[in-house]
Amino acid sequence: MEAATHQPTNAPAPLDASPPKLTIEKFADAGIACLKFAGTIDESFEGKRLGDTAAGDVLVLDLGGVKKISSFGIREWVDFVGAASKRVRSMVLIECAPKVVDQLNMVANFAGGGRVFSFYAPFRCDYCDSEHRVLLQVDKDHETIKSMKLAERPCPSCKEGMYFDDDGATYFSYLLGQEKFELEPEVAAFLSSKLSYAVSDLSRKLRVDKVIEGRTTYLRLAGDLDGMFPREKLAEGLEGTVILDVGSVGRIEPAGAAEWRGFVQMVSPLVDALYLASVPAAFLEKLCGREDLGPKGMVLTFVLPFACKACGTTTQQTIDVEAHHDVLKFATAPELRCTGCKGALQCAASENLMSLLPELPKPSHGADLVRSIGMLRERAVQAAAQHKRSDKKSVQPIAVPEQRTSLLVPFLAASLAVVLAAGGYLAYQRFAKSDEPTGSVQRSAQVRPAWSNGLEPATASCTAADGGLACAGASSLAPRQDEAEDEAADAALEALAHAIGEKIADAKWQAVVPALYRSTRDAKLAAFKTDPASATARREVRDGRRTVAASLRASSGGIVHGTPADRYWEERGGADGKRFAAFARVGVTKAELAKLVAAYAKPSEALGATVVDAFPLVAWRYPKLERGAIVVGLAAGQLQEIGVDKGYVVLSIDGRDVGDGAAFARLALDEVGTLAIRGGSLRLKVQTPDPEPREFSAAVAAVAVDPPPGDPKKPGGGRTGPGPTPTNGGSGGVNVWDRLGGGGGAKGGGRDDPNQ
Amino acid sequence: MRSVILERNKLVGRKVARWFAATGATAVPVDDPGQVAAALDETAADLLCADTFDGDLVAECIRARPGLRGLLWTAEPLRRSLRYVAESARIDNVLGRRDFESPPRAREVVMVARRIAGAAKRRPPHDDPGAGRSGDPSSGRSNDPTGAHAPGLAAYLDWGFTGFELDVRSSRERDDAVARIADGVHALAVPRRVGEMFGELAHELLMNAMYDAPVDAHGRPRFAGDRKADIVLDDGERATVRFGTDGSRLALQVRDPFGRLERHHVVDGLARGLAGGEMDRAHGGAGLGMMVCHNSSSAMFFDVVRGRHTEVTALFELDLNLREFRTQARSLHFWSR
Repeated sequence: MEAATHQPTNAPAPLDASPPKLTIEKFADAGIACLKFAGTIDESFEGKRLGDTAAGDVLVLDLGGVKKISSFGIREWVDFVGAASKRVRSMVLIECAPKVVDQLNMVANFAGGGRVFSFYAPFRCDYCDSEHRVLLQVDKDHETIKSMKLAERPCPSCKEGMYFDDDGATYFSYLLGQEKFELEPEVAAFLSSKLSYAVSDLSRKLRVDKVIEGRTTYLRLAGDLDGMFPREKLAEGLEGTVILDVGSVGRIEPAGAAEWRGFVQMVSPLVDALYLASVPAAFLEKLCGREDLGPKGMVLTFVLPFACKACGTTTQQTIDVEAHHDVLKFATAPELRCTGCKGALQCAASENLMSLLPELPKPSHGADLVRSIGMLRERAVQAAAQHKRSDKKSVQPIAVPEQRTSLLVPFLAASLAVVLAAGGYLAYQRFAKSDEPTGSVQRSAQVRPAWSNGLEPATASCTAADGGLACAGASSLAPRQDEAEDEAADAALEALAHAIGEKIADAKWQAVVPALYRSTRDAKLAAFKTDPASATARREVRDGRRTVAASLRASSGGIVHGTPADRYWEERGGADGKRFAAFARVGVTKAELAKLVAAYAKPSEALGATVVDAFPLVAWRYPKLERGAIVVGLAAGQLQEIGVDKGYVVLSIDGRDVGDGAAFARLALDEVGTLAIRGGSLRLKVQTPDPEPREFSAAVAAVAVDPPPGDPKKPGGGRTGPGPTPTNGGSGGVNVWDRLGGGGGAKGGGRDDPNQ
Repeated sequence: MRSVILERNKLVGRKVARWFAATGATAVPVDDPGQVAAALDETAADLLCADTFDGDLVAECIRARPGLRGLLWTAEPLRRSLRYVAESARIDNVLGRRDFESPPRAREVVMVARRIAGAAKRRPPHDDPGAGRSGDPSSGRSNDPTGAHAPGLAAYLDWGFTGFELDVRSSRERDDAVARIADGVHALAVPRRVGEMFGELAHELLMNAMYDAPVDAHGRPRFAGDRKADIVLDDGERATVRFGTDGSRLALQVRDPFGRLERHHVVDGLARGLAGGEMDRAHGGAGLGMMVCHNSSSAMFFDVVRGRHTEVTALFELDLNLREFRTQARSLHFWSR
């Protein structure tokens, strides 16, 4: 990968040290290039000239930093995209700044042949007078864009609501005319792993390409290093000299770093040498200490940023550790020359990174090994591409790729030995869509269980069983067996929660609670049913079920646990590699069902409100909501006065979490009682229909020691302060005097003093 | 000046008539299109005002009466009104209004009424005496009792406004002026986008004044062919930019001493931009400058004295948020002598 920063070539020479109007950074890897624009596009931008330099397969234009575009700049820009689009297969515009969106709306052909994948929407917060941008993607935010409305959201600065500061019909006019699309996986992987763009969850998944050449095994890792790193499967069968090309590794998460260290520890006894190649700076800082590398680990090459002051470019240079070890051991970078102007390059790496260089062990390899990396990388990329192309053309189950050539997911290869009979295919044909994997190759049981028959992918259903319920769920096709099994179990549990909800007969509950989740749930399930191939729709259903299942497990009082009663999975080979379909069944007995129905519908009362436990299905709408109390009834009282409404979910009272309805009543009484003594604010954190919870508060004055004469029966008669006046004595509907030892009726002055 | 005001909302019609009357004009409000012909005949009117909704009627009346001019107001996008401006050379003014229940801005109505009345008196053309180069933008206040001539910034802003005036001769001075204008907007603590937008507008107008307007002795464009070139204008060619604000409005005025802007440049440029943003490269630029002006301002005023000067004034309402601004109907005025 290379990166270069330059300003327009014909820009007038700056008369002072003012920054250039426009900077364009270039990042490239294999056939994908990304140009990152920042600044003003005006007459000094040499559009056609830059467009003529475009090359490769996909050109990504990052326009997030564009501040202004003059009308002549538009002309140059249109020349640029026109020239560039002829030289690349496809062009994608990402992170378009509002200014760019304005131009897309105003100028015909501003995008050339490119498509907009993501863009910023301007938001404004009037509370703290700040402006913000929110990134939207045409794939996952398609419905929002179609609606031409963006909901208010919490201001990152002050947490108050900020609003979309433009006219939806105008702002989304161009995007509405563009068809929804998803990034090609290679492009998404490039953007997320190389450049840390937020694209999609799928794109950040680690991909592994493998080439074996004699005693040397070359592994090319691309994607994020997270807790999903398959260290055991990756370590299987490694021997001889292993080269790990980590140049395309993106973000490194703590869990991923731990997995990586475990992997290195695991393979060290098995291999002769473990070489790391093209190590990015972040990887070098986090995972290339002596302990991390282990006894056989060595860095062959790593990447450092160098700047050329003469021509104003910044490039990433690959450093051969063996060749430059004599320099590196003094924590200095080798002297390099700019390939453009031959001027001296200056290392732009951080001091922290430089301080690690002396610790790097000197590799004991020949120069041939370093030279061979380029060839191995090329073979790995070609083989992966060829593998993919052949997959796309074929409708037949693909042959297992030969391990010694290239594997997209090599750690799955060992499990492909068993190819099951064609009966599996027939039993599983519901999953066999034309563009989806076909042909069952492995399964958890010889015969598919009857309870799983009839289940479409990513669906679930419940049946009555001896007064109880049995719910079965099916996963969509997942890349991993455990993922598929989890998805199936979540689907079954979500169906169980839904069935429980339907069994609740309480009118108040039915009037309020289902309304909280029904439309969200139905919309997401319908979106998936309409377009099962949509990764977004599938993800939304999967995530929704996961949160509901987690909530059910947590709130069921131990009745529902994580392990399904029955499980079954199948492995399939297909166009996108191995996929797994799983099925799970959960159940509750008649007594358990009755207990769950009663528990979720059990009302508690305080502050004039009737509440029930947060029901698991509410997680469809509020994924972050794990516990709380749903307001299903509201009479006059403090809760009503401060604006809480039916359907709101109380999450905490004065910072104390409300676990369920009963906890709400307990905490509310306690808090009001305390406030009656000391005075202060009743503060509730409440999930309203807004996406983020809001805080409701009302001042509550301490009760006066001596109630005013003439009004001795009003316990709140002596209250002061600006808070709302409770209808029944400043206690929000709770007779705090009883709790404090006072009587409910007429009281003497002394007894009204809570201090006594 | 005698005017007939067709406005279906009687209250609005009366209010506009009152503003017209305040300029010394006679104004007859009617709320039924069927009464227009009679009112025009009875009053021998020389101006017919109406919402663009009744644009066809206005255009028809203008065709039928040679001395009659038209004035439109609208609560809708400018594109609908532009059709009538393009078709009829005697409709030069479109006033934006918030909605169908609201009148156009009083200040704008009065200014337009006075200028139309002044133009109708057919005074001999002369340059605007108030638009001097003293460095004080308020010096642009017109002393012309007829109101026929381009007013200075004072006519667009409330009393007590502040601002500055800069002469621009070179690309460097242009960039400095743009930066100073953007800074001036930012100093008002308005959304950053407003400052950027106004800076962009200043850049656009100055580019036109510096590269499009100048011609040589033979009337051939001097710089239009190469906008990338660094240029230095002679004293007699320099552009002038004025920026002012009264806290509720921003006003930007750019003037060149050539007076070459034609009505069709404005109308065609806007029509092309509003119709879909097709570029026009025939004149060296992108042909989208008018759209930039349209998108960055609430009202645009073009004052041209042929061969003497072109002055473009853009107004922006600061009390609107950008969402409201996007949907606000825009005003367009073209004056030429």
